[in-house]
Amino acid sequence: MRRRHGSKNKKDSIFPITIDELEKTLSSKFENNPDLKFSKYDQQGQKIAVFFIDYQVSSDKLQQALLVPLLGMKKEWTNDSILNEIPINSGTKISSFEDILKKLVIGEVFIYAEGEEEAISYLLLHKESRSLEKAETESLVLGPKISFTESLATNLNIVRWRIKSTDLVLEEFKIGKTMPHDIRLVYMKSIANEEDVNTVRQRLQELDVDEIEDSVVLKQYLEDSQTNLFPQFDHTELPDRFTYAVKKGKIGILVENSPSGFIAPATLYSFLETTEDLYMRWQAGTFLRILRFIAVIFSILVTPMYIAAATYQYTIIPTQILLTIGQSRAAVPFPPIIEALILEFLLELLREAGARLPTKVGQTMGIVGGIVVGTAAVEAGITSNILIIVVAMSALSSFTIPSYLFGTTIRLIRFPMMILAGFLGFLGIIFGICWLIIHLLRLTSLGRPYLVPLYPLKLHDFNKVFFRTPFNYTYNRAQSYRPKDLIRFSKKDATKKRDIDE
Amino acid sequence: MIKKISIILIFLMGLLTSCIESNQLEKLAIIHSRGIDVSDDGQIDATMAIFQFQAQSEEFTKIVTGRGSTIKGTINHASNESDYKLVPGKLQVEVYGAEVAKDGLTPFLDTLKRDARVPDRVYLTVSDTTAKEILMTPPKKITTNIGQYLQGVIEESAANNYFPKVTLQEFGTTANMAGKDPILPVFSIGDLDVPEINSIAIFSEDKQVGTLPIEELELFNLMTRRVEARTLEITLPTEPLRDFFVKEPKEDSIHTAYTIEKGKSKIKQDKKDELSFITEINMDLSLVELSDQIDLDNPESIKAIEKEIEKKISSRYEDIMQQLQEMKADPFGYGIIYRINTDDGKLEPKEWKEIYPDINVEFKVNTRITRHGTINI
Amino acid sequence: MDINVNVKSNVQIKAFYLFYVIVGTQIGVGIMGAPRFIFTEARQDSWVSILIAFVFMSIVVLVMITILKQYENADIFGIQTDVFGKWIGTILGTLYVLYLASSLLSILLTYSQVVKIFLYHTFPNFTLGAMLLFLTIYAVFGGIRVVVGVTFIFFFLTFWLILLFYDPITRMEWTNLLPMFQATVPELLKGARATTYTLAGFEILFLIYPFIQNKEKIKLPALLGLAFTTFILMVTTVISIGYFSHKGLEHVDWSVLILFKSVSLTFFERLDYIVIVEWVMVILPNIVVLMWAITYGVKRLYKVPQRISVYVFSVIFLVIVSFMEYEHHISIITDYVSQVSFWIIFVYPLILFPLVIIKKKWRKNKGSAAK
Repeated sequence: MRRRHGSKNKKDSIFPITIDELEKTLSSKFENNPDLKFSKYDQQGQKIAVFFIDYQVSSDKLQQALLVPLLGMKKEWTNDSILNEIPINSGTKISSFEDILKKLVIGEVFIYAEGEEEAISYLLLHKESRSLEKAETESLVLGPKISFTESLATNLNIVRWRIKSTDLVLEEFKIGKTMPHDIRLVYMKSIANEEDVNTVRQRLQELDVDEIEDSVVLKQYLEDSQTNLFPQFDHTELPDRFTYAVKKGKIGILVENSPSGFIAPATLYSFLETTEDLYMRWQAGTFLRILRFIAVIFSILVTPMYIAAATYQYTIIPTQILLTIGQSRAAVPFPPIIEALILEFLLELLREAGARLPTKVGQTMGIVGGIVVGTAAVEAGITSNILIIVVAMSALSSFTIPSYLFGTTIRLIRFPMMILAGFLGFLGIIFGICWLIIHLLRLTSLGRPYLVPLYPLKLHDFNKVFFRTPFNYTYNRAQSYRPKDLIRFSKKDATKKRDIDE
Repeated sequence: MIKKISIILIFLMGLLTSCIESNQLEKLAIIHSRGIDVSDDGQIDATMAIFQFQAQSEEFTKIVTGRGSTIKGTINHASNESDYKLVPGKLQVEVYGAEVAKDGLTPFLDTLKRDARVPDRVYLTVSDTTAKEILMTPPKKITTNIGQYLQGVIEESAANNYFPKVTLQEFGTTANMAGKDPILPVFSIGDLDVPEINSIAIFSEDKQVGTLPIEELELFNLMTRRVEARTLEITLPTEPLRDFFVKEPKEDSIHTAYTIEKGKSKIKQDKKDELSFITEINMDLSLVELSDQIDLDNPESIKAIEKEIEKKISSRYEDIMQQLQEMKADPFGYGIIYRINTDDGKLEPKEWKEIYPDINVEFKVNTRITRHGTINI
Repeated sequence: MDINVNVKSNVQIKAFYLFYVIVGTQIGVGIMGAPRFIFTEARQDSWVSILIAFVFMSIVVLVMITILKQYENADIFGIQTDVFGKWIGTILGTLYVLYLASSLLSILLTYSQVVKIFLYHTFPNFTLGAMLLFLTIYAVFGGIRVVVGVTFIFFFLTFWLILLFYDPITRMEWTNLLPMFQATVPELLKGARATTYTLAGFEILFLIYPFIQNKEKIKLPALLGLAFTTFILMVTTVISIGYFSHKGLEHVDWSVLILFKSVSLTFFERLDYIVIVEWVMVILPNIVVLMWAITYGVKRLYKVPQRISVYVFSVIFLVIVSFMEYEHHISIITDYVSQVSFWIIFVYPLILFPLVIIKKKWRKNKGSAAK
């Protein structure tokens, strides 16, 4: 056997090898696995083997584009001639046996002509995926409704179509030592802050895990701190939300087999934004955004305040309401804190049951739980009717939060707050709020402060975060994320005033 | 590290906070209004209207009474009558018996001010007999409970900060102030057997020294603050207006009512004589009722009415002033003006009490009737 | 000990935040009772006293800035070492830290007093102290960025309290402020001195200076901070004078808190309860900044890591606070702090100033002589 120069660096090359031996070696690796197809062809005494895993390969393409031309070839089968004749563009030569095994699994078809030093592989990937559907967890009234799917290729396709620019970078990473996943780092070359991109890149490269389940899991691996309550990256299944953030200079990450991506860095407020705010007129957008801020505060505070007032500071309740609360409380045998915990627990049960059950049953659940159990609880004297209203309002407010993860955090925070209120009254509530604020001040996302643009103060960004202004005032990108290029369009043209009748 | 410490802290806090007294709403008897009388042996008699909530009954108000040598003592005593804990955090109305008011309110205000739980917005009132009588009004006569009824009467007859809404803070401040004396509304059981405000109690410092009829209410309001949207009733003689009547008037007086659109007063001290004061009262009125027909299209008629009103009001003020000087009470605050213009800005209440009966006040009333409604007669 | 401090650029703060740091450190428990003390001295002309205090305070701050400008990046500890030598510098530095610690202590004690009078009669000092110190430790562990953040965020979270003054303003008797300009000059100066305890806090400038990024812009935010505090003190004092009678104000302990007692909204009655609780947010920046300053000082003087000293000081404070119950003792401490603070923060910079200048001249001469 001659040894050629160049391609002999790989130690595990088994080529050249006879076809029969090759079959034996391969099937020893795929024991008890009937899916490996190994076909042998003979032509003018020359042997050729085509092998692949059945369901990973699109059989139509295999037949049409590979086997027909291959078997109809008039020339001798050599690697070069095969590469030349077969009308598929992705043919590569591979000599490493390890690589061959890896690539077999992801759906490549191999051709080996006996006596050659390398096998040829073609990517004829066949991947089952669902078609594009409406977003389920984040629903919108206006704007694009499709959501990401489990297929990375489809997701990349959507992102590319939404950002038609050569600036868009889709950097590839493989995460997972034993079961690797494809990861794509998505950002705009000319806008995204380089330091942030490097941070994410570094974190991805340094990540040492055997495998990851989903993008949400990867997100938790990459976050700044594991011990705190709040999500630090924004998680979404909406391509428009994803690309909106990328276009503003943030960094997106897409994970193979995950129907959602996430965006870094995030701030507290990014969880309360929806792209819908942009699709509305600016007045409505502002209103909705402020409504959501109020809802968050309301959701955290209203039940603890009821507890504090009913347990310690009855004086702050106006007389008329005091009489109503007093009369309905009179029948309840527990202190307010227990009463509220029971009801909140009931509500969380309903919510969780509704999420686990099929949609139609879930709706019935909600009605049964809400109306029947609620009414019965008041009549049985387990809770007061005012508290039912209070708890329902707080739950309702927590559902206005666009991000499901953030909403869960908010619902969780309520419980320690309620306990504090039960022990210390309003002093406990204020203590809880102070703790939360200090906690938020300490948080970072990709090393950037979590409360920006409030602290550190960036007044120019307020119209992108807290409220909306007409588009001609948003000529800059948010400074908070330190984009490379701050200017979106010229301020002068946007704010030019023409005289009357000109 | 932080976690360990926080766990320990939270644990300790849980242990220690069990010593906070809890005020669970349904275990409280919330005092809404209270009447204070002093019996002959010097003990305090308190009558309290309370709210307390019971599962089985719809009735949540109750009247309890207590005796003691301090107000807190009366509460303790009264709590025997109610199986709940009596708390003063929602006290809205405090009624003092006539005798108590005459002897001075200071001893009773002390606990109200000292105890931070008592609100500063308690309305203080005086009864013309005993406080007990007012609070013991049979509940059948009134639609709500007595506490809320009294509060309603006070608030309904006064928007914003007008009299007869006198809060603890206002009374306390004025009673302590050199050169001004407080006033309080007086409740009495009226013809309908329900409590009503029938006069104004005039105080000299913290002691009641007399009363004036409630009809002068707006004149008192005008003297102390800017008045808006209040009703003023005036009876004018027909004689000077005879020319403007549509028909010959049958009676020799005509009853009129106005809305004060804007009313203000200003007290000035005479430059030469420090005991002479000029009080200017400016009012914009809107005519809302006339008991007889007057031709209002004639500008002269409006002018004549304005002039009569001015005369009438001046004389009413002079009348009031004379009585006040006799009582040595200065609710209009002439003493403040006097104090401001003294050399060192200091004035002892006693000093002013001696000077006060000798001051001269001239009332200058300017009125404008700007509107007379949708008809012109 | 190095005279100048090396501060990493990522922990530096903008001079703009100095406004909030100063306001956050000045406004605390002092203001709750301040009007009474000023009024006792200067009567209805108290506002003039406050203005005098402001002028004096501004001069002191300008002097402090000038002192700091003589050095590259120094704080009070470095300057004292430079001027007085190592030993005396360390002793003076320790005194400074002790002063800061006692003023933190007086804040904790005063607030616990207020909570007992207005909120829960049986509330243990220990619990309140533990709560506040827990928050403080948590914030100080975040470093200077979080400490400044606390002053910044809590400034806005407590700002709305000013709006509640609308009610006492409508109940004010404006004539109580008349006649004006009756107080004599000594009375006015005494009144100005009575503001010390309330206005103390700008000494933090001596410690935080090395952490400021754009040092050339430091004057405006610092002076604005002083002006804002003065404004708040003035408003509360003037309202208190009008709201209470002259005789009454002399006997009211927490006049500013009582101003809120008559405020009532349709959905919330008795706002005073909320205000007293909200006051945690007013004093928290105080405590956090002071705690940071204390531990930073100890680190500078004795090289004890802040991580350790925070815990040590918290435990000490907690123990002391738990055993101080008697109102009289607490007022003794407060009085002592206000006495000392007058000398340390108002007078001391004026003494230090010529020394620093002489030292600099001397060094210059020596330097040129050496050439």
